[in-house]
Amino acid sequence: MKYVLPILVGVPFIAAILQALFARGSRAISVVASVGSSVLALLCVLNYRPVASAGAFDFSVPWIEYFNISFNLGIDGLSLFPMLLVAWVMPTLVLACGIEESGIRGRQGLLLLLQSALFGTVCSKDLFVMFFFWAFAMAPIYFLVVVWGEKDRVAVAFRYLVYSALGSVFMLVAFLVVYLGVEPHSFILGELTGARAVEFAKHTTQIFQSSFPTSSVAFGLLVISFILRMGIWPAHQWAFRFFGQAPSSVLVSHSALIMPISIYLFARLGLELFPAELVMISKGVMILGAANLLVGAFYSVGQRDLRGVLSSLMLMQAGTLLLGVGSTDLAGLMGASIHIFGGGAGLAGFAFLVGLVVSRVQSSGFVDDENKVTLGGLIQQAPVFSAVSALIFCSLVGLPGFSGFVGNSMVWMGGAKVWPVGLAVAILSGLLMLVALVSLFRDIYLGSAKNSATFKDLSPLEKGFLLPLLAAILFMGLYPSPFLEQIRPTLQTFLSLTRP
Amino acid sequence: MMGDAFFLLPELILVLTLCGIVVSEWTYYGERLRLVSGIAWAGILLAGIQALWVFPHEPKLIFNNHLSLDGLTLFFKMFFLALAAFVIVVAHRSDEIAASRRAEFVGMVVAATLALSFVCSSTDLLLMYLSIQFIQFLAYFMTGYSKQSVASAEAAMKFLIFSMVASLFFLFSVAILFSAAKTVNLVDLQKVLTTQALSPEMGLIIFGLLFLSLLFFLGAFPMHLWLADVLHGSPTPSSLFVCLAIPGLGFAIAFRFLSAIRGQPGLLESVHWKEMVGFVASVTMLFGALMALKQTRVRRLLAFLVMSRMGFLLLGLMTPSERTLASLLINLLTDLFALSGVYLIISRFIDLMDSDEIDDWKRIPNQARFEKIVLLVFLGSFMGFPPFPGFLSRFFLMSAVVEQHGYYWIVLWLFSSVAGLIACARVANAMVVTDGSSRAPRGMGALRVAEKLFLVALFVPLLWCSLFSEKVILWARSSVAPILW
Repeated sequence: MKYVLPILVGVPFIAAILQALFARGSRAISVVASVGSSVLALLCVLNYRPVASAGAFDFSVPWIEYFNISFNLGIDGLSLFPMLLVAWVMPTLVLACGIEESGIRGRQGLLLLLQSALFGTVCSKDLFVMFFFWAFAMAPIYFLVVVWGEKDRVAVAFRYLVYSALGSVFMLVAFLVVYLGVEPHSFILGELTGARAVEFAKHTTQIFQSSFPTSSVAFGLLVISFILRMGIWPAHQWAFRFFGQAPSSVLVSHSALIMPISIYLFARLGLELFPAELVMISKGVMILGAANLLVGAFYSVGQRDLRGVLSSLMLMQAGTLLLGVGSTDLAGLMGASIHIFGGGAGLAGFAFLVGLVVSRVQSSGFVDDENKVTLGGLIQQAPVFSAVSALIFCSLVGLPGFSGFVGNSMVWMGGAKVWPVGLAVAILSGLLMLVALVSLFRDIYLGSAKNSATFKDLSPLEKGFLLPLLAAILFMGLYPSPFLEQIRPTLQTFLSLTRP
Repeated sequence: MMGDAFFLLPELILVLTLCGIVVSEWTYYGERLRLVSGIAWAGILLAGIQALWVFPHEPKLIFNNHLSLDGLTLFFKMFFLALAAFVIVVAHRSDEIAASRRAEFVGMVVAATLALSFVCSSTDLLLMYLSIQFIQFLAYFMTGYSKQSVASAEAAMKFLIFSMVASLFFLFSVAILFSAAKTVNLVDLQKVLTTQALSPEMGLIIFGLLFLSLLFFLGAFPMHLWLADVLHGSPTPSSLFVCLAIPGLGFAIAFRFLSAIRGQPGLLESVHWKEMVGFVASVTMLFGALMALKQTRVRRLLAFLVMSRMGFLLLGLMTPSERTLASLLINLLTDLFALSGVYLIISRFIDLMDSDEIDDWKRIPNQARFEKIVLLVFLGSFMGFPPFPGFLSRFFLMSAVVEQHGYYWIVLWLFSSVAGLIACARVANAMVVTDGSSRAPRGMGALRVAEKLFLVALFVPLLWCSLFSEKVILWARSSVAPILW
């Protein structure tokens, strides 16, 4: 058990190097490593028991003792869903590369590196290691966009790099502030709680002859870091352009992995290291969430392009998660946790659909400049594709029985207790999204046939990588209770820190 | 005295190596090409082994306190020897170093390494000055090696003028120091300062002049004007030598002076050393990074990144402590491996494309995939972007500076890092976004198998420095221990 986490982090990384060295068999290496690593992650999740498993998967090796940095990996209730999300989505992405006409080896290699980085981020229990993996995750996405993106790929990749680098930089500064604010200095999360946390809460930092609480400075930097990196409102413009040019693998990985994991990191660090600050700005976090919900909803209504719809959905997903985290309520936090996976699976499914449409009709637009629908009648040409789309749409709008429903409803429950206006905003934006997605379905799938004569239905490979996502969406929607019970104790422990 | 000569075995071997290179010039053409580089590598390797072998366990002064053998001496000797070996590898197949004149180039590299080896162990300021002069002349010839190239001639002239000015500053500061302390020996100076403190005014003049001279070596503002032209105009192997040897020389001198002023601990504070260094470091770091953004040629872009980097390293001299100085050594070490890798590939790409324009490099054929990837890895390591191996060394230095001086510096560092990242992204784009409309002059990769293995060999210590940072930190700390107070 002790070596499971380093293995599942290391295997994709080693496989990426191997498949780069050996052209023959590279596809097999990629798929086996990605699936194998994910199976290990699933086993960890399934074998995790809230109390009995405490520390069972922990792995710690001193790395740089001089700076008190250790290669410290572990899982707890809060990290279960992000881990499940990575384990579920990454192998489907690696498999989906098989439908591309060129660059399969390069794409799979970069995705393996991304998988390793994301597993490392989710499992790390040391701030330095967490930063290391999180910053590492930036590189594969950049190269995927710059090599396989659309016409303006270089420009959008450049923007992505700037915003992500700035986000990473703010994170590093925040971690340094934490490191230097405790005595003896440490990056290890386990050592930053207890007596050191009390001491850290009293520590102040001088900025321009004014004294500020160090914890507030660090937390503020983290908030800026995550807003920049995720591409949510008010720093969402780059993400919208980015989504307009990115290849489908990046659409999936940014919307369904990077964004939810950013919010997971924000919640984890907020609850564990900055509980007082999180409570202090909880209303602000909820307002930020509500703003993202509204911006996303209004954008989605007027969209003429599937990539644009995806950008809007990502904003809304981020808004829902922020409402849950900002509530600092058990129901809200549990809802946010489960929505990381449930909503992430729905977004991943939608992003895959966008990629499949683009690969078939060479465009993601469905309404022209004269407001005429340019793509329609898919249900006649591609019934399986349409059925899968319908299921994914149901999850996205949060219909009962689908994964989106559980997370959304729990977030609403938790949020309403703290800030009822947030609930009203969430319902309004949910209705707007419903209108947008129903209109989209009506136009593209049910309307008269337009440009769909050559639209092929799902191939066996495509069914193969969409099926696990659908299974996850339905399973999490119909039977979420075992997972909820896994995360409850950890969240209760964290919440106790916010209420001294 | 004769017993002390034993400790000069590495330098004696370098002299013998130089003789061997001269003799190998007499052999017939084909054999000479192999012999010159082979003799140089063998000599440098043997000198390195000897340096380790004769190194005493305790710091030791030899030749009437004119030379010091301590951890710093060993570090810098090994640093310069390794650099010489790497430069000869880069020059070995470079079109910019004419095969018929390769012996000259290799001879100059070995001779400069000999002088560098004396500078890093010298405690006598006159010996240090003479060695610096020797290095500057050799670096001038190396810079102007491509006689037909206007850029090379201009670079050589700029280097000569600035190096002369810097030498004068150095000499003036030594002269004034002599008038005040009646010694040019740093060991004696330390003793004198304990009993007879320098006045703040005198200290300011001496350290001000010395600082200006140091800024030339580091290519830092306001003595930076030579750096970009030299690194861009001179042949690529010369650029590699100059961009590491000259700043390395500057740091070696700075470390020796810092060691000497142990006798008067308040001296640095009284001459506003921290403010001077901090201001210059900030301007250099930002100016270099911002200038890199607008460059269209790879070597010029890299030159400004090197300048920005030197500004960053200067931060380590603001308040000398065990952590900052040890971090400086680790940074120099990672720069040595990273820049050697970068320059080797740049040299081969320039040979392949006859240009270092970023736009032209989009036509580098896909067969050179290995070279492209490795260039990005080494460039990332040099810039210290996570997760590349150089990141940890940057982190060590920055955390030490932040701990001493607060968070202001981190903002500057991060701003310059992001600007550097954007500049590097343009090179990265040229590497991955190939121009399909045209073909490269030669449809093949740029490196031979042996060179690829060499690059792998360069990457191993870089990776080792990251994975086993603990050991590297311990070793760096033990190296700087003798000069700390």
